[in-house]
Amino acid sequence: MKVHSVMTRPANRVPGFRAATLVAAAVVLVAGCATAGPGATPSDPPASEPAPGVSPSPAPQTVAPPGGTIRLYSTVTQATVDAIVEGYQAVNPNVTIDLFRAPTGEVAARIAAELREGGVRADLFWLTDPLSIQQYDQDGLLAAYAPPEAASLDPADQGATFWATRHLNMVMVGAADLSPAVTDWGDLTDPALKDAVALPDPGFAGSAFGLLGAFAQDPAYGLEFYQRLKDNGAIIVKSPDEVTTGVAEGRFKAGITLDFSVRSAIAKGSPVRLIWPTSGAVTMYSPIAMLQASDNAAAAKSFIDFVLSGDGQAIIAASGWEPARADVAGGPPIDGSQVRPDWTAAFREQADLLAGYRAIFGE
Amino acid sequence: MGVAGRDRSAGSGRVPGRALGMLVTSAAFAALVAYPLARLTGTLGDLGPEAITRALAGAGGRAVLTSIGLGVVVAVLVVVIGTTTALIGERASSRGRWLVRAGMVGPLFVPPFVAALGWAAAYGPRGLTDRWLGISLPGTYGLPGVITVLTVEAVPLAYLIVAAALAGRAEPDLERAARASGATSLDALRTVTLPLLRRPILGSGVLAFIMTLNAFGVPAVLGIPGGVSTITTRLYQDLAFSADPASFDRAVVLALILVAIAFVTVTASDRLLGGHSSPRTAVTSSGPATPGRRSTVAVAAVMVGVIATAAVPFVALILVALTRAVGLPPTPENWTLANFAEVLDPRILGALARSVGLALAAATIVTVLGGIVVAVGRRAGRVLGGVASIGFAVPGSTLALAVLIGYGGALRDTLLIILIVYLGKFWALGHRPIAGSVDRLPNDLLRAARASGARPRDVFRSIVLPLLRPAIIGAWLIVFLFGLHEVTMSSLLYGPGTDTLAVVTLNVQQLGDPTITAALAVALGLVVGVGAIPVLLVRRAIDRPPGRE
Amino acid sequence: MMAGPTPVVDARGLTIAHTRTPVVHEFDLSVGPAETVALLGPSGSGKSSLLAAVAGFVRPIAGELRIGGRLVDGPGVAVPPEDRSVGVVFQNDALWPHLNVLETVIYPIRRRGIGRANAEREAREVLERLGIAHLASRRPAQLSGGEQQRTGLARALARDAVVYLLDEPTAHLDTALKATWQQELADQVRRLGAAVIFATHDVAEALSIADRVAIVRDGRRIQFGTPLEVYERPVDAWSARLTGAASVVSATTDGVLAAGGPAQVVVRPDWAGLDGDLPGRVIAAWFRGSHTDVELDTPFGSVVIRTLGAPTVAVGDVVTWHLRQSWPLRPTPGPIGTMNQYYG
Repeated sequence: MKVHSVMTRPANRVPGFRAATLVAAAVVLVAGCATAGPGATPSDPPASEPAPGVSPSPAPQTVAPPGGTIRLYSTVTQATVDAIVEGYQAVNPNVTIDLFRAPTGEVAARIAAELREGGVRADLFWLTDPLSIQQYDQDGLLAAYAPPEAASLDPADQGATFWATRHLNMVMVGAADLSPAVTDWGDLTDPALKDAVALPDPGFAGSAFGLLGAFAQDPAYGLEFYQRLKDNGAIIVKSPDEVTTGVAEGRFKAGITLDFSVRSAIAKGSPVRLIWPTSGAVTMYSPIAMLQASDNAAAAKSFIDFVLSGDGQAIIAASGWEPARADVAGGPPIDGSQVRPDWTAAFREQADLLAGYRAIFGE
Repeated sequence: MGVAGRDRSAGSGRVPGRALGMLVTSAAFAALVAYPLARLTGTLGDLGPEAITRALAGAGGRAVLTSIGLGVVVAVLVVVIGTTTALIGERASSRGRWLVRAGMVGPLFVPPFVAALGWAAAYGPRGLTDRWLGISLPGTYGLPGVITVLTVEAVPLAYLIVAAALAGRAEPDLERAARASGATSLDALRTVTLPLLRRPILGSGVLAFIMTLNAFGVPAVLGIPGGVSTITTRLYQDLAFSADPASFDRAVVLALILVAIAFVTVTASDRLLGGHSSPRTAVTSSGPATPGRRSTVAVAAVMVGVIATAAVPFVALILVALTRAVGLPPTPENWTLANFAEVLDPRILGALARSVGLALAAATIVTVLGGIVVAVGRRAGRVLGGVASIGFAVPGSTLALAVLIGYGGALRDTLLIILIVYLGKFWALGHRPIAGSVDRLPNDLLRAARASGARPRDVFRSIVLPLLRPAIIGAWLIVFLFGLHEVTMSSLLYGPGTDTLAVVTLNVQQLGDPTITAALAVALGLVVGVGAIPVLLVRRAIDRPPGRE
Repeated sequence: MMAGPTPVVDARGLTIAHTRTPVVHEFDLSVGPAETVALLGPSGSGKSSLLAAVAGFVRPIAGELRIGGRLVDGPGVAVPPEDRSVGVVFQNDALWPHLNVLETVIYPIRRRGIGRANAEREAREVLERLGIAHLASRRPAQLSGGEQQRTGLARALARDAVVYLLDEPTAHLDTALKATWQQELADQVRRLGAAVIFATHDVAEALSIADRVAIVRDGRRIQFGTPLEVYERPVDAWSARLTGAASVVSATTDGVLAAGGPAQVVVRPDWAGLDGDLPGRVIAAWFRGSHTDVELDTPFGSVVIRTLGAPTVAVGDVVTWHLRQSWPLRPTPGPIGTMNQYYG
């Protein structure tokens, strides 16, 4: 019955099918065999100008401009990395940057996995805490270099193989209508804040890891401080941003987070306020380093130079972070004193730190 | 090449075609599923028994128990709710039936973890109901929330299975015969309808169990913040967040335990339920067996449930996406499009393009693979179907880890490795509708073509393919949709520049900004929703047996 | 229309609709005790819906229905199927796959309130009566078509109802089985002395089994009478053609054949014969074994005449014929179906 109408319909499905399959397969194979996608595409915010009063940085190498591809593993805030990459590529258009940006835990896992499989494939690490970078240094992954701008950095903010790019201040955040008033770290163990304090997870966020080291080192707090927080019902969330969000939503009343996070939330309108601890914010630096195994050392070095340059530091300041170089203005306000722990000493004890933390809060 | 002997094969009776088809399929299966699984098992062998016991101690063992417990609870809930809803929907008036069916179809196209985000936005702490009514569902971030959303996701499938049985095995006339023999409505349900539904009901329970076992997005979004880990999320955390080699070992052990549980469940249920009754999800029209005013109330109750579990969460998600900042109420004065503007960032658009590209490629290749069944004849086609199903039955987390171990050396961080795991997993999805359609192809149509002078290849091209077209299109669309919102496997296999939109959303969610997360989730939901419209249109065409109107 | 005892089934003005459009309009039907009524009409005419309404599967949107003198459907009244004294035999048997034959027949007996032991005894008796006692422990999948039908009938009879409904009881049987099963049905049911309503599109079945025939068209009752009445005195051309071979020819209003006449009469093949004073030319002659049907072209229209034995005329012959009997027709409301003459 239906055969007639079916046979008069043009049977043109198969040729189209085959062609489409071949094309799709070809496209995918080509795309797949290329090592990853194009990576970070620069976003739109305009490159910032150096703030007045800063001497323009010396131009990089006078030899042939760097080219090729460099792979950057970073835990830095997405917007900041994107701005830096865009700024860098404006000056070095021949360099392609493959970016993997993820929280510290994830980047650490990736690095560990690659080591397991035969070698890390990155050229650069740009991380958020001073402890994990020392571990990689100790493992022999990092390459020595002497960037010309290192002279403008605080000697405590660098090693032979890594250099600070910005400072992170761990402060407290509280609900806009918080009472009782919280002014210093110890107030977080106040019974009035029972079950209402949030802390970031050292296993997930590098800044939390750094914080752990700082408290452990300080005789006024030590690991017992974490125990007291736990006894007061403090809750571990993943990231500093989550602490800020939780306080904004009203899930918690107060918590420890990064100043950047609180300022961003306040700027958008969240009902929170920044509490700068009276004994000083815990300040850590965000290091950048180059890998020994990098096969594009020239480009990697030029990237490091850019980040440490006046232009690069200005971009960092414009994106809301305190630049590592003191001679670059434009960063966020510092509302109090800053405590800079001895990171080398903290690193020596880091295994004990993590074990101690896990003993308190579980896995 | 007598006609009698070759009659069974749909079109191509030529031996070379069949052999080539079998060869291609076997090679594909070996590459996509068998080799990775073999490598995974081999890795387990390398670990040794103490590593295994260590993996099962503490968090690992807890994850296994959580997964199994979750699976059982969800299965029971899904069976009860799904069967009840099917009985209400399929025996209601035609308008009620249409409403219930439409309500059931919706959740099928919402990516599970978008549903989870919506649920939290609607009923969680600081969610919609919390702001406006002062109540929130306890445990949204935790086991109760995970159970609820997984149940909501699985009920539509149970509905389809039971509804098909209500039209087939337990058709309305049987219930009428019982009523005409003196049975009250309840009596007929108990003595006639339910006994006949026993197999499909149990089958849908098993399906819900397996779905829960494999679930990742929902436990990731609602479970992890509440400290609840399933095998899938524990595996993910071990691979993605931990640098400790012991975590990798644990991931391997968990992956194989997962597939072992799935295998045991499926075999046991096959044995108990007696062979694979592949449920025809085609629901032919059935009517109310007998009139009843109660059905209107019941249908209304079902629709309220659908709105509460599907519509409200999506609205809540949109409201959160529109909110200027966290902590502000989602009222119009706080609305902004800035969060959506961030979604239009080139990085995220790139992820969207990759999602679409991967889904396109997977759908096309899978459809071709599934179409090979047509060329190899019915008996061989059934074997191929079984082979393809293995890939689907292996849990996504396990398959992803296996592919990572098998191909990670050469293909790590490429789009190709993600495509490979998609192909392995979705092959059966493309195969089933096409094979089912081929089965229903009446032989007489093909004989008529041969008797009109068409050679086998011609018959294939001019008769078989056009008649199979709805099934082919349907298969393509289903795989495309699944590929778009897949997150379980791509979250384990992505690398710099190869993240998909779903993975981006998951990562942003873990960073803790609910407004951007909501905007991304809404975007993902819309993309999938737009892709779902053609599926709905084609569904009617698929359900009709080819050649008959 | 019917004097005498109270009808077992009394339907007045039944209107039934499944969706918006009614499929049965203001249907009246009365069935006396021990009476067999056929609902005769083409498929889609609404007869199955009528049966469904009597059984209680569908609620009429208007009208009243009484079974055994008791109002079961009416304003504010809707008695469910299990509370009506109705037995139903379904078109496709509708046997329960999970119950064997004995359990299937016990099912309605138990629900009459009878205890287990007695129910089993009674069920076996019913099975004996239908000759399927030896199949008691078989499931439907293990029965032949005929055995399944008997089981379906046994289940209905086990209801011990005042009226039995049969929906197209022989529709799916081939001719050989049709006659025997029709007879069996009629015997079994009559033995109980109960009323029967059956729906069919098979004319021979309706005329042979029923005490009265209701002709159903598009949900309306066109005619209701004994088989002889509907055969010999059809109410319009459509009904005439439904109930047997019929030639419709033009006539005067007094019933005299007249070419181009204003009125019409129906002529059954056995109401006319060859040789007479009416003119005609042979168009076709069908030999049917025991008789021959000869189709003539006449000035009044084409006429089919049944003659005994082998054909005595050939195509093209000019012949004469005579008319013994005819019946005047009312004009058929609405378009006549495409059925032309057909031969039963």
